[in-house]
Amino acid sequence: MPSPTVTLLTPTTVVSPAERLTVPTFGDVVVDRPAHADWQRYLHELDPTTELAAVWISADAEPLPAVRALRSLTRFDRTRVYVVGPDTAGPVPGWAEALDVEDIVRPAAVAPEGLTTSVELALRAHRALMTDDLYTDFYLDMTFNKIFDWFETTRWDWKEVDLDRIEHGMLDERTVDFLTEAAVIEFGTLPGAHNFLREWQDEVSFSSWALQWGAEESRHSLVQARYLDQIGVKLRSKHALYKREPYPQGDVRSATLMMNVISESRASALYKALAAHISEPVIRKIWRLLARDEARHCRAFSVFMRELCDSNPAHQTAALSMAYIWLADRGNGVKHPAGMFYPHSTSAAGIRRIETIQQDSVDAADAKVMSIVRLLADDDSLETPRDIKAKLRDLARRSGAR
Amino acid sequence: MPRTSVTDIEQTVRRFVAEKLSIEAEAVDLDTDLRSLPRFDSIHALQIVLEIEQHYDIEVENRVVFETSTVRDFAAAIATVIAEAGAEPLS
Repeated sequence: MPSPTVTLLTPTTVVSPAERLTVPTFGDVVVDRPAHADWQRYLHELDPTTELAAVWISADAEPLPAVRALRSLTRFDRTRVYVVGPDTAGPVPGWAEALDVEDIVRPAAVAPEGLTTSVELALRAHRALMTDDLYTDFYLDMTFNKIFDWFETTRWDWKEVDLDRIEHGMLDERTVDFLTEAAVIEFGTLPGAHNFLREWQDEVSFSSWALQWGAEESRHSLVQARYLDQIGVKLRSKHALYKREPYPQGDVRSATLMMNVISESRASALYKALAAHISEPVIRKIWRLLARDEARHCRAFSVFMRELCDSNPAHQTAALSMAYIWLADRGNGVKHPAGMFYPHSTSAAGIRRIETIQQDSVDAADAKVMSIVRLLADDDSLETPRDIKAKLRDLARRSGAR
Repeated sequence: MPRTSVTDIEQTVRRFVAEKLSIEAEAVDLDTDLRSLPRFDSIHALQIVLEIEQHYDIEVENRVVFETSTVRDFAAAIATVIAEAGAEPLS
């Protein structure tokens, strides 16, 4: 990877040769000092592989047109811009915010003794923007903002669940077993949320939604544990602790999201099946609400997944690979993160038991996932996991031919 | 389809497994449990299968991806597919 470049634009008419600077965290950095008169030509002729991380523009070098010239070229959208002038105490001019100027700094910032520190700060800011796959210029343009209201307005209210109205006579041992298993399986939320925040630590949009997701999922264990408590069954907290240890985070975000698309779709189908086979009205209501939650989560995960896949074919391949792995293999029962990743977990067996209530419920869930896969691959012919594997072969062949 | 010996297939599988997992081919014994190899997981298994399919221009069943445990078993499954596709592998 070439060294990042920073540029000091001064009002001189003399072009200085490029220098190299060594910054502790980032290593070698190229420092260009183009002449003011050459600014437009410099920007247009800069090698396309150059990562122009930051620019310092002297206040004496007509900063407004210089910044405009930079921002008019989309490849420099994320380049950090600093205006260098003696007067840093006054209000930042309106155009500075409009053109995404990072700061107004004193000349000492670009003097030899201060330059390394200034470059390090600028590179940190630039790297933060570059590592966010779903970065948008403006906060409210991010997908989190677009789906937030949908989530806020469709969340169930605790008032909808009246635990004092449980019909105890309508409960049997099997229902209590399913309910206990479902509550325990839902404890997988916490390590899942920990991992989301670790895997997306340099990102804002999905991470913000992951907090919403975690808050909703944590209600699933709670509402079922409270129901159990009401009928005299105490849920042990060990299930939420050592039985749900952290697991290694995923390698590719779109693959992690596909895994969650599938598990949410399956969870929704299993809750629907449970609700359809129970007559006790309070738990039926709870399971219907949770089925709706999981279906909402499935859709939201798919929105973030498609956003990543649309921006990068490697994400598409990773997501399709994960879809194949999870849809094609039911040799050891239905895969779900809560049953797969924890050494002490009993959830795989629990999910298998719940699945017995309606054997075709997971088939229906997977059929919905296949419709998401078709959209993702932009291929209406995909019907089965075998078709997904054939698609992956085709994508590999095409990428090998390029 | 060219005739291919089972031994050739085994060596090809070993090479693909080693390349995909970034380990030496010598570390992949014919009877080593693939799941015991570093970094081997379902995604790597799929990637190896896709490369094998492309190499021999065949398609293997889903169960081969998930149930095959050694290079020897994997090569045998591929030899069967090749044979069914019309070219008898040399034994």
